[in-house]
Amino acid sequence: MSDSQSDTDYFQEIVAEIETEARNRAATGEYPRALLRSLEEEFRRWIPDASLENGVEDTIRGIEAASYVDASVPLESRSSVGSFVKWVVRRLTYFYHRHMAQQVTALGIHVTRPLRLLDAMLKNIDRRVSAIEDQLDVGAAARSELIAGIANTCVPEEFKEILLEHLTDAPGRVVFGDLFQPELLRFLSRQSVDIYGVSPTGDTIEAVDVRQEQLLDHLSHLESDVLGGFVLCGVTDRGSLNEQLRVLRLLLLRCKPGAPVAVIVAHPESLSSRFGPVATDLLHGRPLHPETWCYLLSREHASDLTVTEASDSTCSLITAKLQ
Amino acid sequence: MRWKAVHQFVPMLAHGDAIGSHVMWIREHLRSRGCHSEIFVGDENSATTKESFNLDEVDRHIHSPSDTLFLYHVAQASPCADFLATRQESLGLIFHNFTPPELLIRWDPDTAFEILNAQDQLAELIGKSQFAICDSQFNSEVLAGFGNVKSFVVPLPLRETAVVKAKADEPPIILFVGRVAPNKAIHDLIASMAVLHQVFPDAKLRIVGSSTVDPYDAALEGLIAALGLEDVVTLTGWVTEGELELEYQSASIFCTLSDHEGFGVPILEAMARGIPVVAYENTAVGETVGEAGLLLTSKAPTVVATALERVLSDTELFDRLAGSGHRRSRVFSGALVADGLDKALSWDESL
Repeated sequence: MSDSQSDTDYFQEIVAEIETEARNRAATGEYPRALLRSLEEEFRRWIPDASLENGVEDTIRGIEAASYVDASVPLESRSSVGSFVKWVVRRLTYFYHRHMAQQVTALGIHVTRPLRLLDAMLKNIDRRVSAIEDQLDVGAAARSELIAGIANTCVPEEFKEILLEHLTDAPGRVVFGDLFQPELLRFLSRQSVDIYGVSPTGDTIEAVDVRQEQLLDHLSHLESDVLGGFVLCGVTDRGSLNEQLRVLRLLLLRCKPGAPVAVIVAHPESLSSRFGPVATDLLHGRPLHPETWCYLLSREHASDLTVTEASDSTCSLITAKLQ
Repeated sequence: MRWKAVHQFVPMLAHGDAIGSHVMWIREHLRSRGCHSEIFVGDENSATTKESFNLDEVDRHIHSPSDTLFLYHVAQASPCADFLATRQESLGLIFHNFTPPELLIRWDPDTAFEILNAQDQLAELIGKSQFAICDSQFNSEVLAGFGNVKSFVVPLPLRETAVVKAKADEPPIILFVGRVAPNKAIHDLIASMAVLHQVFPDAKLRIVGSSTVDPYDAALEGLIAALGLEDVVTLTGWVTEGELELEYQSASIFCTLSDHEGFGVPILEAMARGIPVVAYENTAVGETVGEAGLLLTSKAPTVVATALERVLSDTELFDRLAGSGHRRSRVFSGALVADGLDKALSWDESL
């Protein structure tokens, strides 16, 4: 064995050992996990392209590799005559094969060039989106814990009859979301209001239709002008301003003209005493004032706007009819 | 050689960079063979005006067009390409490859789109070229995508140099030589250094080369500061030849994790000095290193750091890499490369 062959084998063996050892060290924590996490984090911050998945790039490389055609046909054969014949054929047709191979390779390169630029631009967009997502996600876990621990607004008994009267004769099915008070839905359903609930937590009520999903997701899957009305609560207490406005916009899009609508909202002033200072500080949103809901609905040309305040002043019911 | 005059065209002539050195070496070789040879540039560089002429001076140097060959160094977009497309003299290409624009577009979109222009220029020019000389087989395969041309693989020549003596008691220095450009993946070297620093706290990384784009420089500085490696990583900026030699003299390992190399002159310069090479295998890197270095298939920081640690702590491996690299570098001696160049220049498509 020559020096170079012996070195090649030796170095390849060493590289295999190194790669195994690196994996083991990372797995056993010999390379501190905190350091590796910090590397990943700092890479995302400073060299974002390098930390992205390279699925598209790998595909492009695959196309490039596949489009490279070697015009030199192999000459190996079981007999020396066969090998000679192949050599003669290759020699005679080389100009032709080379010409064809180069056209195929050229095509591959010209196809992948715009793809590569597109890939780079997509990565750029990904990087920006990731940065925005990072900003939005900060504190998400803490907020989820807080939301889970906060008691829902209790809808006063006095609202039941008002809602029943308001929703009777709705021009279609009424959606109740976020559902957090099953009794109210059951009551309205038993009073022959065509109503169903949307609950992210999966509450079930006997003989009442309850969909287990986020209200925003549910509304985004519906066609326009299919709902006969809505009762909106829950998200009005703790959703971010953006979430509340998105939900309202979708509800308005999905409701038929003339649909009765209702919003139950906790009093912003009572927020601190009910949620406590930590939740008040950390939650994205806070309840909007009843005046704000009235303003938002009137902007959509809703009529018959009425605000009813609970006798204990903890919440308000806003009712209206869409035009 | 059948040519009485062989003139070279290069986008810009710079002292010290791989293409600039190559151009000068070819001119001296041709002149030593009795050939009339000058260098013409698309864009003037004040440091090399005595060595080169502008394109409007070409005709003054042409005595017999049929005995004159133009050699165009293809590496970036240049007025040279448009000029040569209109000329009747015979044309040969020296293809140094292009940095893939997708590696630059985030950091330096202008250069990325300039490279696309250069690719278009090459596609236009290749049809009128008699032959091409490529630094590597990898470059030859890339060139084949631009059109049908007879191509010769002739690597860049390496200057003879003395072997560096291993330094036992000094802190280990990991060396990289090359432009501080995104495609050179300096960021991966820095990340690897953060891991190596856990086991070799006194190890240093020296990045020797000029910067290219401000946003990438800023990102590297930010990364270094965020990882607390200010005392570990040094970016020297551009250095003179004398200073570069000192960098090689003090290096323990040469390491490159570059994403794209059409050849790899610094790798060979390190090997010629007996400095062990650890490299990420891709494009023409494997072809340049040959059997004489540690070629990694991953450049995950843990893998690179483990490799560097292994070379620093395994004397047998260190010595074998040093010896093997030095032997490998002889393949790129000026005399052997000159033979390859002469063969390419003597090729006659009519035969």
